[in-house]
This record gives sequence, C-alpha cells and structure tokens, in this order.
Amino acid sequence: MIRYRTRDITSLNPEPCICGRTHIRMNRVSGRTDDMLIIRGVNVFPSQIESVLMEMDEVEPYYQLVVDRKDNLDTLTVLVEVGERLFSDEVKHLQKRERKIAKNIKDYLGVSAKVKLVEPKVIARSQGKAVRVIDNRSI
Amino acid sequence: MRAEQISVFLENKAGRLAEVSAILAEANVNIRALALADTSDFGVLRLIVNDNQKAIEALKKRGFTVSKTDVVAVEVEDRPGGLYRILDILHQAGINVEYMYAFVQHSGENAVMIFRIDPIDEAVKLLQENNVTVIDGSKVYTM
Repeated sequence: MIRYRTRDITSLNPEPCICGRTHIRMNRVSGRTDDMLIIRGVNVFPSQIESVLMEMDEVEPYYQLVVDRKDNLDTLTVLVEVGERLFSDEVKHLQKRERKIAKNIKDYLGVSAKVKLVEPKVIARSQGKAVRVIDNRSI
Repeated sequence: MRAEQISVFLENKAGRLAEVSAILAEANVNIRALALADTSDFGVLRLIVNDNQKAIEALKKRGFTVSKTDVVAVEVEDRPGGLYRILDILHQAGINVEYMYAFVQHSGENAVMIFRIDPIDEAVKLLQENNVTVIDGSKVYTM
C-alpha cells in the first residue's frame, strides 16, 4: 500500500493481527492535517473534541465548532445540542453541565472553549460530510 | 398531592417563545401558569397546562426538548405575610425552594403558587401538618 501525502492522520500498529497476519498495520484515520485548527497557538483537531463529547453519555452526537477572533485573540465556541438526557428544569444543573463539558475539553486539549447549549436540530444534519467547523477568522 | 409541570429548553433569541405558544395554541392546549428562567444564552420555560400529554407530544414533534417535573401547588393566603408563612415552615425544616411562581387563578379566597421543592414528599407532608392546603394536580389543570 502506498500513501503519499494524503494528509490523513493515523498511527502504525506493529502488533500482529488476530487473523495471523504479521505485517505492520495502520490504525483508524483520526482526522486530516487540513482539519486542524490553531487556536491561540494550540493545535486542535475536531475529532479530539468529538471524542471528549462522545465520552459524556448525556451529550448528543451533534456539535459544531465556531472559531472567531476577538481583540486579536482566537475564541472557540462549541455548540452542543440539548437532548432529553442533558436537559433539566433547573438552570443551575444546565450550567453545571455546560461547565463540565468546557472543563473536559480544557483538560483534554489544553484549550479553553466556551460551551453553548442549543436547541435540538439547530445544527444542520448533513448526509455524508458534516460541517463541523465554522471559522469566522479573517487573517 | 403533586402537580406535573412541563419544562422546555429554549435558546435565548427572538421568536422562540412565540413559537412555543403557537404550537400550544395549534394543539389547543391552555396555559394555566408559567415561569421563565433565563441566562444570556438559553432559558428554561416551565408550564402548567390543562393537558400535559397533548402539550408534550406537540412540542416534541416540533423538535423541542421537553421534560416533566413534579411540583407542588399550594394555597397561599391573599394577604401580607401569606407567602412568608409558607416559606418559613419550609425554612424551619431546612427545605430549599428551587424556584416558585404564581398561578393566575385564585382558589376561593386564596392565591395559588407553584413550588419546586426537594424532597417533595417530605415538604408536602410538612405543609399539610401545618394546615397549608396543597392542591392536587388533577384539580390544578382545570382550575
């Protein structure tokens, strides 16, 4: 197999396969280098944020990243849909969940993000390739 | 002795409340009482309606996130100090009120208020022991 500058990001796995094949293997493609965002100097892959969200059971698998530049600083806003599992009739619980998502992103990626809860179906459902990133920076 | 309240998640932007009220109007649901908690980005609308099932179905069908919560409807004497008497009973017992709002309709001479309290059973028992009238849900929806 020849892969030449596909910009796919993956890792090689030298362990023999359970099927008996001993050839070096390629792990799943986790993203592409051109997906990468640089937010205040930190490299951020949307797939990393996705995996943070997926690890939290109450979060729906629909999200969108909005990158802006305010006063010469990059800002990252993560839009997360509020489904039934995330919802509470108490504002303090919703705000706690908002903070928890932001904290997990900060812990895992080292970049602080604002989490914004949005109504279900606000984030466009696309067939095939989803629009996950909206970059409003004009550099 | 509980009443059911429905809560709806709303983004804090123009037209969201209007859409909810339009959906309820279309479904022929009457709003009996409501309260809105808001933050800069989102809000939680709490409603007591005459037909919970119909309201929830209609809102869910239109993509809103809706949940049901048990609350307590309490008769409050319509005079100075009426509310204080009830809050004092709860306070003495160390029970916290998450939120509360008023009902439009009177129950006889008294005003009616909706309380969201936890633990709910203990609070209801305590109020009844102190001769406070707690109104049953079925009565609240059609008052």
